Amino acid sequence: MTQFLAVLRTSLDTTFGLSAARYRYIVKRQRLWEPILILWGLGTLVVLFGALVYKLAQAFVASGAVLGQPEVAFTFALTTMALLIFFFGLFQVLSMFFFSRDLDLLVPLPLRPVTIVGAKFATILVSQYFMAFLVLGLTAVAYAQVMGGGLLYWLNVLIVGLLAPIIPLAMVSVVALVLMRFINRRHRDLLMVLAGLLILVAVIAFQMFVARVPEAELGEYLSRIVSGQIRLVNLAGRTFPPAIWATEAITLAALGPRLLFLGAYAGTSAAALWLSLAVGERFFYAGLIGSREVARRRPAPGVGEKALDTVLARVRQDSVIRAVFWREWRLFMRMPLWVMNGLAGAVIVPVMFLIPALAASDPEMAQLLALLEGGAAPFYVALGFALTLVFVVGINTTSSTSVSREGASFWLSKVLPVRPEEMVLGKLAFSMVISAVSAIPVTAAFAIVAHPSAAMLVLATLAGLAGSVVVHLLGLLVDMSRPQLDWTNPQQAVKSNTNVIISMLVTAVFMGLTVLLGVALYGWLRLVGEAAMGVVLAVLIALSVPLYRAVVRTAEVLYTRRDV
Amino acid sequence: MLSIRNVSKSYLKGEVKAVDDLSLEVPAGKIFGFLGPNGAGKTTTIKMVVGLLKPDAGTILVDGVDVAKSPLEAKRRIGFVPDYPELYDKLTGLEYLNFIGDVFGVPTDVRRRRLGELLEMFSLKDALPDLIQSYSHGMKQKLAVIGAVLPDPPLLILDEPLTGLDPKSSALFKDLMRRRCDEGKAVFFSTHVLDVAERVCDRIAIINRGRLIAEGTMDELRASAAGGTTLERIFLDLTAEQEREDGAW
Repeated sequence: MTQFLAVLRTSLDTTFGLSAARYRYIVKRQRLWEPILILWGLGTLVVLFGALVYKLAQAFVASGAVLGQPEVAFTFALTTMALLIFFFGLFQVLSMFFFSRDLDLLVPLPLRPVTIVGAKFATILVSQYFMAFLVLGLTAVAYAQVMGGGLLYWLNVLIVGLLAPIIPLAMVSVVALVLMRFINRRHRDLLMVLAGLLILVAVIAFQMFVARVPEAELGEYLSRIVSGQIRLVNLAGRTFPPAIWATEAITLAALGPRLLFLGAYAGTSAAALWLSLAVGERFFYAGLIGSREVARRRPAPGVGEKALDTVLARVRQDSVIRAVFWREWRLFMRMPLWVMNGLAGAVIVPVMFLIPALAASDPEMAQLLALLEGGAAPFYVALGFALTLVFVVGINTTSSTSVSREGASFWLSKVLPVRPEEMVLGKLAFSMVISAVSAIPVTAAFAIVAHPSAAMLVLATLAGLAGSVVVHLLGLLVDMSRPQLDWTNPQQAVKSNTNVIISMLVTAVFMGLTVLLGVALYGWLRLVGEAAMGVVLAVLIALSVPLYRAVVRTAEVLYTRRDV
Repeated sequence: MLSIRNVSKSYLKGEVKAVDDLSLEVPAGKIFGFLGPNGAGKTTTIKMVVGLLKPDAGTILVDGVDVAKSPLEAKRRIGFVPDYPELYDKLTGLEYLNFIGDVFGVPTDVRRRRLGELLEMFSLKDALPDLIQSYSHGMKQKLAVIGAVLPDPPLLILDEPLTGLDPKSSALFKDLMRRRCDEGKAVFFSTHVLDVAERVCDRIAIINRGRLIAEGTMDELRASAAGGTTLERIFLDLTAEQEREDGAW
């Protein structure tokens, strides 16, 4: 236990940068504006996200109350949380378990695998509690406002909150440990990305097919729900049954069944935790050694000379911008954790827009299409599409972590004779390629759903891409101003990077201003839709010019004048 | 080739003076050894020369180019190898060297010829298609050396270059440094291995607590030191003497 606590303390310290923060902000009292800015950013996000969660919880409680089942709000909250942890947690677990820098120090120590796995698991758990308590706490407040809640209610909310991330996290830990133990070592990076995508597709498919009510039986379903024969809680918790037990533990009136459900939930959490630790004890070192052991090809005797000629034949001079672009591309694409973080938003979210657009036979979709076709404001639909593209870019982390991702290798960028403009253009080009990939499904969805004129389709797509340039430049500006190079595992460079949060906030402000511009041009000045979109495009292009100059100036300071 | 004039650098808002009014001249055609105990300011000095740190005061000229005023021009004249090179783990050796070649503008034919020679010399050709993450520490060091020499810069700056190199590579590397100096280029390197410095260097500087305490050829150092015959003896006597003076002061 002493060993576990020692490893846990160190793991928490390095993951959250506690000692470094204490030294910088309390002992040395340097860069005090940083924690203020971070707290402001986080506070704004918490307020915005919290308000959204609270409104949703209130809506679920109110709708549930109409059917006599307000507790369904808890089931939805817990199921959604479990699904999010199941997907995003996989990459966090892989990163913490297998790619942390401190593993080189921990593994040679006389520690059992379960001690390291347990400490890493607990560290991830702590990082999940913020979200767990925010979502569950606000749902509990919304529920208590309608139904009331005593001491036992709040006590059970606290216990469920503490247990909530354990089961999904234990499940992804088992998946990660088995994946790393048995996956083919040579193509491990590629297979990890594929496995991640597969899990995402499986989660979405499971949600779509299991939770879906057959349309023909909809009327009967509704009457059975209203009469109480079907419980909404059971329906909502099909994807993740423990959410049902947790809901009952918080909301049932009778004490006996309430404790019984709480016991079942706690027991299942304990069993899941035990299973993940047991799998960790058995597979952790084998998987870890496999992840570090990268086999190099050995040439057959006598072929060395020929092989060198073949290799040198591939040597070709290229421009500096293209060299920087390919460096960015290769380093990003070969790190599965970054690909999943960066591309999940860039590709999967747009595809999720496209799928319902293609399902035009769906009655709800047909209704939406009719609304859009007969709608009076195709300009706003087009602006919404362009901003969707900007939003998708905003949630992709390629530019806001561009310098941070270089981590300990950043010294190379400092000592090489690369002009700041070349560095910025190489990095921007890489991020824009990812944006262009996002643009394809989003544009297709727009064309299918809204049937815009050819001119509007082109103008709106260009406006979306110009907005993407602005967002990427803002991301680069933030990351070049305060690169986070001291990460201990690659996940930290993108997932725990405060530059991502700051960039998202700035993107939100930028999107709001663009909406205002659109309203001013179309609503107030009464310009024709295409003309208004043309002006929006021109303004975005004009905005990107001074922004680009600001990024280049920041790059110049970073690469030539700032200490590293 | 390298001129360091009255350079100072402090950390923690002046609390720690890492380099204190340091002046050095590294002439063309010379291997210049830069010695000092741990924390003497060697790495800080090197980092200021290559552009990783900004001096608080003083001037650094590389081949006549001011590092502060024309950083890119200065960087084009430097090949740098740090003590523990953190390279791009997810690039192959070939991709890394190609990247360096592109950034320095090395033409394709020149690049092929130089790489052929260097890869053969350091026995790294078989590993070239593999990711750098699969390389041992010594192989990474060799790759960093090849990357530094590939653009054929007039000044090589090396921080503990022999750390991690096997005896054969170490010997080849010393030959390479000598050949480059014979061509009129210069090598500036820091080391803890005093017998290597004694055998390889044309000139030696010793730094302690951020200040230069001796500089010259081996013969000049011997003449100035009281009774020291080996570099190790001279080094120990000089550093101890300065620490006594600093303590008394």
